[in-house]
Amino acid sequence: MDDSKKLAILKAQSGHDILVIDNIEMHSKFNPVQEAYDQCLALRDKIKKQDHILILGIGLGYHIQQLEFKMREFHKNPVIYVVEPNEEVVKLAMKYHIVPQGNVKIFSGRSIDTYYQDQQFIDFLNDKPLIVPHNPSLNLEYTFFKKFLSHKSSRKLSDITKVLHPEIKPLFHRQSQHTTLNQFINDLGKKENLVQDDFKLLAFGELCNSLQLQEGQYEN
Amino acid sequence: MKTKTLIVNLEDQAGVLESAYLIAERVRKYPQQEIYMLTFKESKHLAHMISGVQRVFTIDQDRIKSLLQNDLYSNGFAVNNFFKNLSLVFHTEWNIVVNYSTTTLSKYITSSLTADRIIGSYTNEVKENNYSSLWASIDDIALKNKKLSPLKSIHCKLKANNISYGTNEPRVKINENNNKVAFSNLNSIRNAEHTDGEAKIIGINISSTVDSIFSLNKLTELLEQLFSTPNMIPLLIIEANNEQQKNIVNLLNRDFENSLLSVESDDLALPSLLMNIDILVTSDRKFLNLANLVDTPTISLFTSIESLFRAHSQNTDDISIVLSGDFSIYNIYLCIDSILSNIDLSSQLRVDDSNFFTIKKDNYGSFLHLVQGEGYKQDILTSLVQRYYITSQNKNSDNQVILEELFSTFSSELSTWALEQKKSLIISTKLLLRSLRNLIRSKQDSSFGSIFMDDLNKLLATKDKNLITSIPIEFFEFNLEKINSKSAEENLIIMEHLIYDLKTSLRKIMTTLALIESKNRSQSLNKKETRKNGRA
Repeated sequence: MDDSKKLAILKAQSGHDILVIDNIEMHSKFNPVQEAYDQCLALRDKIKKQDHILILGIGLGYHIQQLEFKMREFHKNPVIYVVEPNEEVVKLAMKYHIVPQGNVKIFSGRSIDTYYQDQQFIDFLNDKPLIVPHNPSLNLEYTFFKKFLSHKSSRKLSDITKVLHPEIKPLFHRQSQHTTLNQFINDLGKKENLVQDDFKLLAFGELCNSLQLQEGQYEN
Repeated sequence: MKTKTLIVNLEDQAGVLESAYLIAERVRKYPQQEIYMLTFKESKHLAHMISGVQRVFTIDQDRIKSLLQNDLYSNGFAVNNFFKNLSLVFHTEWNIVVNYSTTTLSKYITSSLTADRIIGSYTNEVKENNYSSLWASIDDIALKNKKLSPLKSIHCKLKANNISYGTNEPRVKINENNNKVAFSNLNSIRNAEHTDGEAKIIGINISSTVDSIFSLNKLTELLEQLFSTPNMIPLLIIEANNEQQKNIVNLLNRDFENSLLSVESDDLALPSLLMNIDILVTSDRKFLNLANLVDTPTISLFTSIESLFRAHSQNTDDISIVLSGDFSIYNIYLCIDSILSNIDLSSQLRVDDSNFFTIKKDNYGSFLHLVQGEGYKQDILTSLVQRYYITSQNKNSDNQVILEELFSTFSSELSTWALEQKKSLIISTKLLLRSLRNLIRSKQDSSFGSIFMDDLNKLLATKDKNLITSIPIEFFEFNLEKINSKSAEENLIIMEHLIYDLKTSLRKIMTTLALIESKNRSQSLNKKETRKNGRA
């Protein structure tokens, strides 16, 4: 999908700027700040328990501004990550300076794989953040977000090595004839003369075996 | 310059605490060393509590598991995480690495490190287990799968580190503030109006006690008994943020009109709390080990003899009970009273299905002394003779403490037991000799190979029974599995040597049995003689 959607800025009744994409308003045309505030209020209990939030869709950022403000009531260092497929929307939002700086990180682009190959993004997701959709963005980019949320990472060794830290990659130099990480480590254990680095990977394999994973999570 | 020592301890939380004995001794013996520990993240706070540990590295297995479990993430991130956890450990040049655990994971990690010296077990380049000493191999091969382990694993580890057992060195770091608070609070309980200031506080840890061993009714019965005794104050110890335990205390408090005392403690405050009570009743290994480390007497409760032998207390003041059937709560009360009043337990106990043990020590560490109970006598006896066999083999001298224990506690059972053991020893020896014969014949006629294998398997199967022969057979099996020569002829020669070695070990066991029997006979005769002289 391209990002040739028509973006426009209009004034809400309250005087605030609002973003309109392909004639669809991304915020309340009456008062976008009040709308975002009400949304945060509904999430108050969840925000209280969670200092990590993943927001789906940026708009002009009123909802992000209010969420960040609300989070500060309960948390010293709240962290917000935003996913927005349309890079043009991000550029525009940045011009309006509504999205708070510092503890908000924006990830944009249409390649789902790119998100899931980013170590920082994965570390954030693995902390199980509260997911808050920006409904107009979600509706507009429904196909993208559906794919984003139902993504399945490849278990092929060739894909796995793409995300490895550069220091670890050389340990997988003989990867071509193996299809999965488990197979690679199993075969490593059959080597005639094991070296120090081999034991590092064998240790990882042994840890995986002890974690009682379901079929397919490491084996295949 | 200080030497850098890494302790690889991938045990559970109780096991991490138990390593404090080893670390305290290493610090005393080798003051010029910096001690680091590698453990799982969930044990980090406990590792930091151990005196002498300067830095703790952790493997975050929950994080790695969640990265592997979630389809969203590539498995590569789990690999990254593992290497990130271990980055400093991998990049450091260690003077000494002590592999405290005996798991395959800890062996692989140990083998992946750069170290001048490894103590414990590790894997070599052809994937065989290697050991730094005989004690390290006993720990891994002979004790790990034993039903009733004749030695505690920690004591083998101390020996493997060439460290003697028993120290008064501080083993855990005590937070001064926590200690002051615990001391002041518990003293004000002791000095409450209805006591004369001599009251003893009986800590009861209900973390798993209620679930696994005690019914709520039994616990109520024990509390009633303690309440009705002047100067005994029960104190229920709740783990921090444990709602289930809080609910149990609330339930109990209904019966006691809110008069029960309870305290909520996290792991960091627990040493101070345990130090300031007079006795702890617990079924939780972490609590037991921590109480041992701060020298608070304990009564530890177990549901199986196997778990008792694996995890029993180390302190000679303590009592361990394997609860069974409809056990008498009054006996637990008597155990408490016996520790507090220093009264001999054996004359006090009522007969029930449970087994009661106190702790004794020889030069190799603590062992269990059966005070009352009939259920496991034969197994306990076997375990004691195995201990005698291992320890006497090692120094080529009698372990007199164990001999004394055998004659004083099992005098009447010893001869019947020895007869049974001899029978099985003869069967094992016959199987062994037949195996040897068929092995030699198989060199000329390969059809004998399968008969040889049958006999060998029958022989190996005997190690699973709790017999005196099982330890040398475990070692034999371990060495058999290591045979990895390229030629069949060479394999047969190595096998033949191993069978001869086992034959020698079985002969030594026969000698041990004969020695024990004859000493038991002369002890009995001496006793009879003494009685006769007394009457005259």
